Amino acid sequence: MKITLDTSTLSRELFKLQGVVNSKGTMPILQNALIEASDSGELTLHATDLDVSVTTTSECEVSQPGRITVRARDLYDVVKNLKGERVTLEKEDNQWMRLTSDTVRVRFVGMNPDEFPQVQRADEVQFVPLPTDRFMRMIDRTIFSISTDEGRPNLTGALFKKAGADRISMVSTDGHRLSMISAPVDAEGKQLPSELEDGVIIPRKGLAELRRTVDLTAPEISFGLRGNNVVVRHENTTMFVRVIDGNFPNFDQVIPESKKERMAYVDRATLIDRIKFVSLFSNTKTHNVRIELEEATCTISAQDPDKGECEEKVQAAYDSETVQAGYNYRYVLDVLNVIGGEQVALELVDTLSPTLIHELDSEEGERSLFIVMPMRI
Amino acid sequence: MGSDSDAAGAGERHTSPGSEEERIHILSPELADQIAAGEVVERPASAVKELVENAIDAGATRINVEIEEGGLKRIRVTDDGCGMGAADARIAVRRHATSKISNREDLFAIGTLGFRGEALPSIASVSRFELITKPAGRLGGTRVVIEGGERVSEGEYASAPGTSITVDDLFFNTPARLKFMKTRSTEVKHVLEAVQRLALPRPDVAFSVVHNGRRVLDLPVCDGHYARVHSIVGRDDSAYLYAAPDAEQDGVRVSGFFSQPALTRRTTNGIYTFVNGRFVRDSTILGAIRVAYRGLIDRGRHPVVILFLEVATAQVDVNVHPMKTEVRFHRADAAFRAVRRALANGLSACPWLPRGDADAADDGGATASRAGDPGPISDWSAAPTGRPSDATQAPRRYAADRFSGVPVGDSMLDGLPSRSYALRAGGPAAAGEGGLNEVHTEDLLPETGYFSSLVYAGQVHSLYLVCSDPEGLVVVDQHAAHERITFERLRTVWAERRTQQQPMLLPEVLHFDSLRAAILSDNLDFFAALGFDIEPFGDTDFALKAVPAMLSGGRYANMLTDALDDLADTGDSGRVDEAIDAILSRMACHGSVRSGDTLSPSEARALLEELDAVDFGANCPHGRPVYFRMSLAEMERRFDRR
Repeated sequence: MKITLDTSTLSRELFKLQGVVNSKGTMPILQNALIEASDSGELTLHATDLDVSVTTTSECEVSQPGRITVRARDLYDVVKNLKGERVTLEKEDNQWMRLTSDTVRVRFVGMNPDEFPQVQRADEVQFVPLPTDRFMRMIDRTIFSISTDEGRPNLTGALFKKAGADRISMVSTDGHRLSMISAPVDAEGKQLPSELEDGVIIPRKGLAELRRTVDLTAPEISFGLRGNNVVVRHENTTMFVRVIDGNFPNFDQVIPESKKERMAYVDRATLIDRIKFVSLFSNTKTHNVRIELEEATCTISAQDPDKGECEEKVQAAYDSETVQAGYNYRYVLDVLNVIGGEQVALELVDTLSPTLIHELDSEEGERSLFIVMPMRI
Repeated sequence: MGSDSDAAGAGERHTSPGSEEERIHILSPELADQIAAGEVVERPASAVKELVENAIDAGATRINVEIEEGGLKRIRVTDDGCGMGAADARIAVRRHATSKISNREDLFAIGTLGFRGEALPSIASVSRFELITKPAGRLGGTRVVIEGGERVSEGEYASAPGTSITVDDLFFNTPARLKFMKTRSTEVKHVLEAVQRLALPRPDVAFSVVHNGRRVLDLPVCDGHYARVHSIVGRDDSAYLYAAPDAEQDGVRVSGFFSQPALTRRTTNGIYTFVNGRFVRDSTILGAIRVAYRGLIDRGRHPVVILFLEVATAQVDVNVHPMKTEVRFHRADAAFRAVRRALANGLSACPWLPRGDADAADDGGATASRAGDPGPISDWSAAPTGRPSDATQAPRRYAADRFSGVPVGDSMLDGLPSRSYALRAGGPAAAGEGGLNEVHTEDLLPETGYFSSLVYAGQVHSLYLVCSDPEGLVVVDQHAAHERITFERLRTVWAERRTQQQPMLLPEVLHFDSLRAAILSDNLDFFAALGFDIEPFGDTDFALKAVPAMLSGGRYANMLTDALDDLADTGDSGRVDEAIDAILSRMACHGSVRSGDTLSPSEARALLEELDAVDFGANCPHGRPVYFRMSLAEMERRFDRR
């Protein structure tokens, strides 16, 4: 194998692999990138941690087609620091690879490419398009409340599920709070994959990698399903994410009925700022704050026997009965920080019932809802 | 065990078609003895143990053990016990021959060390064995010689009263076992360990061990447990030992000695526990010791503890294992609680801290370092052997003073999952009941605490506070001290606010096996007190509806499973508290004065005063010591003034 291409192209494509190469683990081959050059002048790079696989393709000058695999991290560290505009990769005997660029000569120890796990093909996947920014908004609004408790594997990912005709939803929960967003999808007359009727659980790692590597300037991504993988394609990159085996809990029953008249409308930026301020007086481990809604006012308070207490009043559009509840303020801030809109609607019932936080002014046709379980203080 | 698998294997073959041979037969008595010997006689030390046990059961007051070449060449155990007549001597070496039990009821009320009737024939089957015995007051004795289980000779023999058993060439006919023997010195170590274990609970018997003609252990008859402990643990270590207050729980009585947290060992070798005078290694007791010392010593270190448990013979089953180092308690939780309480009460009193008034410092503080004086172990509690008169004979005032920490009442210990929350702040109110009160003479409580009474000399290297007390020099690690203070304060706050709960939006369904489910059902209150809201949800399923706010985001199911296993083993669990303590001690570490911070004298004095307000003043939450003290006497020694 011998290829030559722009240094910047190689660097950009290698960056997309870095999140999935495994720096430590029992299979050394998984630290590697598989590099394939075809007759048609196409360079393909693969990396996988067996749960998430990334494949990128780009054009290059192929003097001699072939395959080779070297450590992805080392190759990236070298390439991103090259000064030369073009870089040449050439296979040598015994799986060594020579890299030359301008005045630089590097030789990498490689491994036998036949040992690399089989690369999945996306040929037969039925792809459905989705605007990139919409997909990103769906990830942003759910990824923070995915559980990290390996003891409940079905909660360690977000549920990706059809939500009525031509709508798709993403839901996550860690048991104490729940985030959900649904958005229209234009399937261009094609059916959504049938698996999405019940939904699939996409692990946090896969979502985080997507968020990290997706080119935000590209207008569209497309997704599909193949076996037990969600396949996401954007531009020249394809990512396979193995879905989590298990049933997502039936969350519909815990979502309280929303009532317009119970909602308190508060300025979002002010609320974030003031909760942060009051939280100076919350316990550093339990993160307790209390929120009270009364006519036209939202009162935020916190107390800690070691520090003292603090209270702040924020203007709110509210004219229902006085209610209050305690929270882990981080749960509230997590929501306020990811949603958009100048205002946010809080819907408190009482100290024992779940509290609803509504995103206002959502993008076209998107609907998101957040539920936080109050803390008993 | 070997016989079981042999029989099973033969049985299978027997059923195969066409086989008419008789493959199953009864083992010869010699072979059966050798198999039994495999269980009972593992190494020379186990033979010594069996023989010395017999001697003790025979009422001996002096037992001599002679060994050669680590016991592999010769073991001779001589006692002055009751001896045996000719007929008894002949039958004693047969299997299942014993004088110690005779009917089934006896088996469940065993008061002797031996009872299985296995020791002599087992040992005799793997050695050249000679028994010489004579009951006191008879003219002639008896000698029986057995080689590899075969009786070689027996007859009359002139001897002193008592029994002498010589075991030559142990394992000469079981070369496989012989191969497993370690070096001679290792075997000697094991023999010594075995004799020490037998000697600890019997100060009324003299023991000696001679190896290759050299006396390696000499334990004369002594008065009371402490003297015996002193001679076995050694002078250096016993300076750190204190008598544990007696504790009793549902028929389990505990007494003994415990080390201050400054003395730890890498292994559990320093832990000697006895049930009705029998040395045992029991996970319940070890667990209780671990819980009592939690937060006081480093993980992976072990205290030195000598504990004697007295349990009604019907309440404990010693017939669990041929070696008899395992027992089964009918009420494991009672044993656990009794041990934990004895140690926790002793530890919370911090007897190693000299108290503020001059008398106490003079009497108590200095004795700790006075060579040869068994001072630190005080007679303030009834002696383990039951010498109640001692308290009146020696009304040592310092003893009461040393233990003047406010006692931890039973009610607090039992109501809460660990002694950790029995802070001194809550002490006086809770001191109404409990086994300790009779020894805590409240009116002897000094007004000022020890650390407040120190004269502050200065700070060195921005790390240590140097102070003096009336009888010595005290150096305090400022970071460790402050960390301890912060930790205890955080723990108090947590104890007050443990009701802060984070309910679940989606209750987690916990699946347990039926055993754990049963334990959980019985202990819902226990978990509720910790802040877990758990409801039964079908047969063996439970719904977890709320968790302690401080732990939210944790792995609840794992923690609960571990806690249930603890509850099953010991009737108690500190898992949740351990998790909380870990968080608190991290917080305490960050919130404390750093090593390297310069402290003004007033800051330093404030730190010392605060140190008096916490219990367990001797170690930081990570287990490192907070201070050390050098007595004037020791300094004088170093300057060759003594």
